Amino acid sequence: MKTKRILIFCSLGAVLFSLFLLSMRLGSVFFDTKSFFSALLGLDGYSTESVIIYTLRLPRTVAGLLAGAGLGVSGVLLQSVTDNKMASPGLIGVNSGAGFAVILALSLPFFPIKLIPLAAFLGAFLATLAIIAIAGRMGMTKNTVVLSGIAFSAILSAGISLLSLLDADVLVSYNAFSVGSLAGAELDGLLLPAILIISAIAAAIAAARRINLLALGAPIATSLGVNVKALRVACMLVASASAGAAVSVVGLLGFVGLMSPHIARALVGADARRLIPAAAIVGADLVLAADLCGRVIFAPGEMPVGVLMALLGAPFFLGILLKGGHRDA
Amino acid sequence: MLKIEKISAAYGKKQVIFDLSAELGKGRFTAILGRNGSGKSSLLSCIGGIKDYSGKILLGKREISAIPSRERAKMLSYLPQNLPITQFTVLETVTFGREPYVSFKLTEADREIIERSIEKCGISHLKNKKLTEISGGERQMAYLAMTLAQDADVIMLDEPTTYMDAPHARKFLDILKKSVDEGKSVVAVMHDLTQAVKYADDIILIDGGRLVFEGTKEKCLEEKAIETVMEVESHTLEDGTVVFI
Repeated sequence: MKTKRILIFCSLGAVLFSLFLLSMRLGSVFFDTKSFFSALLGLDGYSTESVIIYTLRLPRTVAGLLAGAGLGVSGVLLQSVTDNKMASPGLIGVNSGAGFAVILALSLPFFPIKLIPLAAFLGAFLATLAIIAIAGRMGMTKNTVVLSGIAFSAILSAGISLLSLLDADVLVSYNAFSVGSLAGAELDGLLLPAILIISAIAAAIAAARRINLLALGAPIATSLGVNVKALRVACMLVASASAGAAVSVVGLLGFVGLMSPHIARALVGADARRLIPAAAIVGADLVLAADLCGRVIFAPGEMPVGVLMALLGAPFFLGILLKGGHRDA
Repeated sequence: MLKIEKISAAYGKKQVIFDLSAELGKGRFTAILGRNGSGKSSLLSCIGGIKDYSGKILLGKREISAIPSRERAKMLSYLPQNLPITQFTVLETVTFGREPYVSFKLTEADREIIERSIEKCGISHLKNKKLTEISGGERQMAYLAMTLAQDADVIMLDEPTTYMDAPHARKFLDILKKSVDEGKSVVAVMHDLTQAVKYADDIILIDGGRLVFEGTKEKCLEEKAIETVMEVESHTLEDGTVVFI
């Protein structure tokens, strides 16, 4: 059993490494193997290939990796908190909060475009805080978390619709954000999201044993010494920070936070100590694979990763559901 | 050991426990009995830290809600009526019982306790099975093993044998009785009156959220308290077993 799990983790890591290399190599401009490795290792000095690799492909690859990992971990945490396998970052207002903040920022004259990712992150995080506050007034049970999330997200979505109706130009800019894309990622802008996402993964792994107990329900978890309400709040905050950081990098990328935990659970089981790192790797694998497909299939143009994710992800996810994956604990 | 002093509890505006006081003895098997909706499970939820209440519940000399959660978990365990069917294996589930004691990694002593608990419940052959792959009775046994692994002084259970067949239920209650013999205190909400009278040392009877009877089983039978509250008849069989119809 243990050997099998080690093998699964090695395979996931190998897939991620391969996708990382492929993502650096493939795109609208094709490199042969020799020139790719020469440019990658810096053997040719400053060349067109090395510029493409290091200024275009490396940032989008790192961004994809971070976003996938962040959304994957966020999904696991939220599915544990709500004991609902259909939960994803959107449930705690990440998408609607980030979306509302971005469209609001775009509507404001003179708002610096560079600060849009920060607005997205803050919007996501503040929305989660509001949902925690509302759910907290109703006992912070798994149901009140879900219901508060749905209700508050609906209010923010109405705000997004209203702002988009007021200014058609804003709607065009907002659409680019709402689709989810890795194009235009820059290494400079990835440092803060990277710190947040890596810290979130570390915090989630550190709390994994306690997160496991949430699956036993609040009464048993309480009996085993867990402060269930505090753990739920902590998980939601970490999930929001992680997904908010991911959204600030790629925009509203759907399905990753929902699918990654399901795939990871099928591979390594329900134990959060294995599930959290596995979902992070699976999430990164999915985003890199979708982005790669979008660049290779539609070269010399490209299809945004969000569209590909939905096109490929939705049928795949339905397949998992039909096979009974939704019955996982 | 466990002293309940004038506790009241409510669901929203509906009060379910009214100024209830009782004392649960150390090293005793206490059965809590009452009609549906009488407040039995609510009382257990209050003691288990799941439900808010007014009044005092003292564990030893300390107010139970003031005891830090991990420390309390070493003193008192609580198994609710509805147990989740998870993807965890039996071994993983029983291992959760050691959670209050584990800082980073299970020690050899923890592993021994886990193994012993699994053996006591007779589910060694199911160790690597997921809870989704075993029967309801076996699942109850897995959770009982988890509770035994928790090794708390007070073991509380809410209708633990409701979904079990007779052999599983007998085995389950025999294990609890043995724990009492080893010095643990067991408090169980029970719906099977015959079983309750067979296994319990003490009886607490609740009706409409109020305490109706508190005392030894013998005294309860003598006063016909169960018959009055539950509107049943009791019959004593040749072997001395009391059955309720």
